Amino acid sequence: MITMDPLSVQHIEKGKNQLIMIILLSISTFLLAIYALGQGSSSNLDMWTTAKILFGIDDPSDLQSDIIWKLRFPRILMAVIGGVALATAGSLMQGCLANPLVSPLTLGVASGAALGAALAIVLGITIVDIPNLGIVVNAFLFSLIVVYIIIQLGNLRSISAESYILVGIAITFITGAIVSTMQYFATDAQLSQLTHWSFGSLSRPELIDVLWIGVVVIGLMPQAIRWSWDLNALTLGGDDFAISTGVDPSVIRRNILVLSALMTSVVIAFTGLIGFVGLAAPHMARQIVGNDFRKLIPCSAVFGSFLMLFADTLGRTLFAPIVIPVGIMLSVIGGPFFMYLLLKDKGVKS
Amino acid sequence: MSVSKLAIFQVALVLVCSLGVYQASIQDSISSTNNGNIIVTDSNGIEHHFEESPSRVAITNTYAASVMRMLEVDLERVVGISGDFDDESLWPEFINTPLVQQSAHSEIDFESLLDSRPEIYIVFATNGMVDTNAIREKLDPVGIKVVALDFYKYDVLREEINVIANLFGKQQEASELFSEFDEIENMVSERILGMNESLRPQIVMEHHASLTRDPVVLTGTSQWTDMIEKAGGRNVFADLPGHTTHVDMEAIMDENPDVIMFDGITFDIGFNNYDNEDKCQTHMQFIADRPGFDSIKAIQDNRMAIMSGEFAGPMMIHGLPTLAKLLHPDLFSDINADQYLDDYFIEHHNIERIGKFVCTSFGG
Amino acid sequence: MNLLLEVNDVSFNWGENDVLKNLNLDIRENELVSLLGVNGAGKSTLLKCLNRILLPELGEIRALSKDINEMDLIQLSKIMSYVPQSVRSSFTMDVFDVVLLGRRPHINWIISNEDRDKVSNTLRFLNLENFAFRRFNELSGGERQRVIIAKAIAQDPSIFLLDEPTSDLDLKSQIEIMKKLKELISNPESPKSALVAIHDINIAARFSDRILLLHEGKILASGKPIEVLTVENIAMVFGVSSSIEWWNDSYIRVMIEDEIKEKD
Repeated sequence: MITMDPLSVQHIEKGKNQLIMIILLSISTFLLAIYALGQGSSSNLDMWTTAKILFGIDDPSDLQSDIIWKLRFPRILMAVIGGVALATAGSLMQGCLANPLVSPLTLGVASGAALGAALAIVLGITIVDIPNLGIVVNAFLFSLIVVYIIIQLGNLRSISAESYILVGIAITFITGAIVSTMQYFATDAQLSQLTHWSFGSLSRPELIDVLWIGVVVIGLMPQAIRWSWDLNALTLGGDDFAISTGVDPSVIRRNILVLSALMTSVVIAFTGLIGFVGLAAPHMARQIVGNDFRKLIPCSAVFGSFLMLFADTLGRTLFAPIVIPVGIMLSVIGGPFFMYLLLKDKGVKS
Repeated sequence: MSVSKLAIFQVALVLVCSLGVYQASIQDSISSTNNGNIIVTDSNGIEHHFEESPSRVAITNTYAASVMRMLEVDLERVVGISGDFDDESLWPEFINTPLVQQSAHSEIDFESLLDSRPEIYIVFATNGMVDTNAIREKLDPVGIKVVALDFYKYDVLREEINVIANLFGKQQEASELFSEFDEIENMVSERILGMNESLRPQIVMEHHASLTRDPVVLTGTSQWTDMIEKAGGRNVFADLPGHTTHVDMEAIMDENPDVIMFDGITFDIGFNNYDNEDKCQTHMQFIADRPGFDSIKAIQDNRMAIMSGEFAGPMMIHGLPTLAKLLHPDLFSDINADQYLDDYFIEHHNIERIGKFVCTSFGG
Repeated sequence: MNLLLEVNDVSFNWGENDVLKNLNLDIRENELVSLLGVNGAGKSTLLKCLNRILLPELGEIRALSKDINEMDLIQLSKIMSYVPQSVRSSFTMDVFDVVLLGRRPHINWIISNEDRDKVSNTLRFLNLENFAFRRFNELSGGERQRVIIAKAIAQDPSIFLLDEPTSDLDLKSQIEIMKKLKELISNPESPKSALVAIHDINIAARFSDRILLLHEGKILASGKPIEVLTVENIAMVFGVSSSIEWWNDSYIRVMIEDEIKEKD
């Protein structure tokens, strides 16, 4: 066997350690998921009863089976998949725009989804006439349309990161204005409906929806990870440096924006707007694995799923039967924690 | 003079001037509200003094207008309305009345308002979409008294009707109206009296912002809680705080309600609406299809109901028999609940009741 | 003799400003070529045109006899590597991983042990082994510059393009780096060359096989240092008076005397 340079060995060791941390975190998420499966306001399905059913010790009644598999399980699965999707999209966006302050909702995905939802709720304009899916399809398609417009306009101006961000901000103002106008002329009831939609909830998708979302997200993940190299180059030294490493910034930026938008809109079309995860999970992951995207993406994904699951479970158990929407819960627990992380890391004083 | 001394002097000057202005404005408002023989307190607790009944009134919601009709107040006094009065058959006298506000949460058209020169402006007191304080702050300085009345809360309905009665000298009419109310309420409560508490149907009432898999229910301070109680039922979520809240579907299953009701304001029901697209049935089917809901009594017994927005307004007492009969068909089998609704429209609005007001899945 | 790089009639302008005008140059195998010129002469622009960061309006650039516009960026980066003037970012990685980025054109999915060893060897070659697992952002300007050079070396190209690689280095490090570069390109078995844009005229004089004087968008002179660095050329291009002397019979040294004032 050829002996390797000790530095190479050290590199491999370090990589292994980081992988172990990611695996540990995944296991924690899995355990949390099992725990969450046993939580709920139903009085005939406490933790103990659920555990016995899950491990095959007891047979569930139809009602118990319905609660576990049609209510809790889809919700938990949605939390995991949604967390993975939003966190991955967040780390991709932060990388391709070389800006640690962006989130997957930044570049128009959220405003497009809100526009679609508002059109459905206030004006009754839906692209498909399927009841229950009207809002979902609207939100999904409109968020993609808005992202498409932003990418085209960004390309017109220049293909720099700054260009996309500026165009994104401008478009968000415009879609925001349209939505505000609709809200203004809406009836009180419609306004109320739109507001509640935007709070975000993981209970809305059924199991089949969650599985569909899962397929899309899992299908897109390998491509995201494959771009880790390119993102490393892009974030380290800017566009010039990237080109010198064989990375075409315009192509990669466009591709990543599209991928990230797809991953995000497929989730929020169903759940409503859920922020924070996409911004914070990559930051938390960065504390552990640094900025190497080959590890940052998976690590963010795991953090994202843990965060979502934790926030959702807490939100529905803290004041049961009152459910605090997951988006609100994420901000409440995440905000101060995020602040702590930022202050703890002294940063680079220029 | 040094720069810092100059700065201090400027700040002091500004403070003194603003104090002066503040004092002057207080004086103004104090003096303007202290005259008058008519004194009423609205539902925000603000006292208003009038020398005589206001002859120029702006109203922003149909509930207030309904009450004025019920008290036979001359609607010629109304000089400004909102966009809510769009049904011409129901409000023929307002066809040419200028609009001063589009909806409860939109900006007031001040020019139109000042054109109409109302003396009072009747708005909602506790509607979440309306910033009554902001409206008051804007209109007080121009001498328009903002009278905040809801007319959708059971516990203060009579007080609020009295406010209108006192304002327009319709105490006699109010007293007659209350007798009418008493009659209806007594009729209902007599039959419910002595009913075993365990026979009180447990009810879950969902808010219009509910989505199929994301229920929002009405809770403690909602007027429906009172109405349901009066009609012999019980809102299972009455002890949760606030007006509405999200709950887990499991929680609804756990409560196993006898009846599930829905706030009908987003359905095509009510006066002159006929649910042409059958949205009621579609919706109730979705609810029945929720996972695990086939275990709930309300679904098994096919007891769901959607009630139109009027039931939450001044029509609430006339609507009580309808609700009571829904909950206790046996106790009210001989009562023609529809007649009370018809009476409300014929006697007070001078028009025949048309439209579909309640959707039920109670076998038809 | 094979030409590693051929630049034919390249023109580039920033708006109305013509920076490069019909510029021609060649780079042969195993040579270290210095590019000298005043600020704004177009040294950086030329380097950026060579590796497709900028696209010239006119002209043709061929690397290893192929038109660079007909290659994809990955192919190009296997042939050429580029060290920009400075690299700073708000994201940080370990030094090892930064240098590993140089292997990107050669890696598809999996990093092999050979790749890792190439990185390790390069780090040792440039005396950076103690920095291997430090965060890139925490290094000084000079240390960062050496890391980027290491990354360019790990990329294993035929042509190195370096833009002011010694600007942040202390005197000793400057000499060390140039010696290492010279070592890299001197192996006749593997033909490599370096084109270095540089300010320090004496470093250029000492280490270059050839010097290119960039003046008003064109190559004014090309040849050995002794041929190119004449008092007249220096006066014309840099606007300073100077004197030249031989040092140890091995290379020339330029002594800068004073600025030449414009005579009315």
